[in-house]
Amino acid sequence: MKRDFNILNYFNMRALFLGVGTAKILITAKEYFLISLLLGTLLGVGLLFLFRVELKNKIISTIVASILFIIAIILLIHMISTMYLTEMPKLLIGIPIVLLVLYIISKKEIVLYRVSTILVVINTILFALTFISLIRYVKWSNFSYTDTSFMKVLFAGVQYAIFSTVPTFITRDKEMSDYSLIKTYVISSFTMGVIFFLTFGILGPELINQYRYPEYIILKKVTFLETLANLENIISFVWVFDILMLLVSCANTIKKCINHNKITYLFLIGILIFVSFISKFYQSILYVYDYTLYILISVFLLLYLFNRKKNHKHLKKENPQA
Amino acid sequence: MKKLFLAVLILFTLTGCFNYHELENFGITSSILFDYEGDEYKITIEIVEKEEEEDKQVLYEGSGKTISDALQKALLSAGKKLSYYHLNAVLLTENVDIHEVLLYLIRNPQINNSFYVVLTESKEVYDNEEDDLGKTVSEILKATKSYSFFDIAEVLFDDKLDMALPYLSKELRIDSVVPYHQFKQLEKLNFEETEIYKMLANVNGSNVDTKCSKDKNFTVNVNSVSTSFKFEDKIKTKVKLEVSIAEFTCDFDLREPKGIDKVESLANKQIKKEIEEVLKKIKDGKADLFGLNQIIYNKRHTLDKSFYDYDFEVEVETHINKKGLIY
Repeated sequence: MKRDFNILNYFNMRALFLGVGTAKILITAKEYFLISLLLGTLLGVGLLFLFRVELKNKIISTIVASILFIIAIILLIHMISTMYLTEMPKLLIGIPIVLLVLYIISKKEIVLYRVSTILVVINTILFALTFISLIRYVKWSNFSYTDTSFMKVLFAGVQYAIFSTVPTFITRDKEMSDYSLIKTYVISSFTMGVIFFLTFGILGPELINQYRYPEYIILKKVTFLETLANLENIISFVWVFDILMLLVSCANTIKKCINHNKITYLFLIGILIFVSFISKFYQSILYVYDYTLYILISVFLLLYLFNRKKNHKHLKKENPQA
Repeated sequence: MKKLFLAVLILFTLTGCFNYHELENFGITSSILFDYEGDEYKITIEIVEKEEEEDKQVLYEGSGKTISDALQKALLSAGKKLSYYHLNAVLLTENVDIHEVLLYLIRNPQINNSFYVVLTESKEVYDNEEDDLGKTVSEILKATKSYSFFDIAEVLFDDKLDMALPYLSKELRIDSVVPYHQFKQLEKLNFEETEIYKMLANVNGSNVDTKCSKDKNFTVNVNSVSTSFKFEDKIKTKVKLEVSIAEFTCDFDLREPKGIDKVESLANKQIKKEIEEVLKKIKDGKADLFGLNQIIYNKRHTLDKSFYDYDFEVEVETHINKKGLIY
């Protein structure tokens, strides 16, 4: 069970990098992105180690989970409408996603963990195939000097830590949320490092600065034996799975806080309608791109201030003799 | 009952029906030619249709003030939904604003970035009896390991870099390249210069002809090339070649190591001379085709002097590793 919980959070740690995190970090840190990743991972480990929450304030927890749900669904709907279904209205793109989320949360919580355990296998296979196919396209000249200050590298590190850790806090009221999550975090940082390396090595700083989804664009290069080509739409499911699992995690938290199935379903459908409406305006994705970091920091502070796990209480519960 | 309702509902929303098109109403675009004449873009779209197991080329044309207008008009005459996922080649005439066209192509999410971009004289290239010109061009360029659109896209956004496009003649030969500086066309490199350009761009397969006396010569074929540029007050160009002898009419004996040494020494001199000429041409045109400005920037952390402000020092190291079936 603990392993399943950690796998679910593996997806949550990577979910906000599509379309926002990856591009932002690579644009900020440029050729020093690996240093940022290292700093970010250390900071992220610190955050996971020091801050523990238990989602006791239901209202705040619902607000936080809803905000993350909105950000994730905006990212996913925009990605699908840009890459796959260019003519489909965004509401119709969102409906099957939300229905799928509702279906998963209508089941027992164990289903959520089982789904993530299955998806992680598919994800790992796709990731390995992508790496094997793309590594030969990395151009070392892309790692050239670009006059990037240390402050920017540091800032990119902070961005990495926030983007990767904050989504995990909405699931961390579980008893099984212990320090083994840090192992999962290190593995997820490693996979993100590989994605950063491939994206930067293939596109270089100038193109990353221009492309809306640089981590998707590199997938257009994936070919096997010169005959299997145009696989980007299949391989990019890695990202869809990541965001989908974050959506399910958020919905599950909302369900637990509201504690009423029908109201939860209506609430999530309401969010979809709201997101579909605001997605009509391209500015919405630009705001998400520009302000996600600050929203995540605010959400984290809110969550921590109202839902802080009291260590002494926790210890007493665990060991009443103490 | 609830589950069934949910399952049916999900089924209906998974069809992606707004993007649905019948295959027969799809025009699989193999190549697009962009021309500019009389203040208007003129676009020719090559669609490949299957007719009794054979490919058949169909051309649609459109013109307009903007690229979108011209494409829209071409679409109207096609009566089909065009698909660019299998685009093989984009052909540009010399009148076209290349920067504008390339920016248009990079923005379109439905275009696969693996197609090739070539320069040509006019739409007469389609007059050749080719079933699929786009595919033919793509295969020629793939065989010569030319750069695809994916590789040249960074030139659009990096001021330090320039590019060179292959030139497709009316007879469907690609035997020269056209360098650009800041998207302004420079003098075309001829066949011999193109062979040297390929060498400098680390592309195998060039041929170099060398005279050993007044009327005798030999030709070497480059099997493997490794070109590196280093900046140390001068731009040091080091070219390491593994070559095989393709033609040989000279008098010295290739059974003797001395004969091989002589061939290598003559080839070195010839290739060095040709490289210096090509580099001078590129330097005069200020076209940074090999990322030299970035190399200088890496070293000096400033670009107050560009690559064309420095001298080149060329070093060639040729090794013969194959002679064919005879001495």
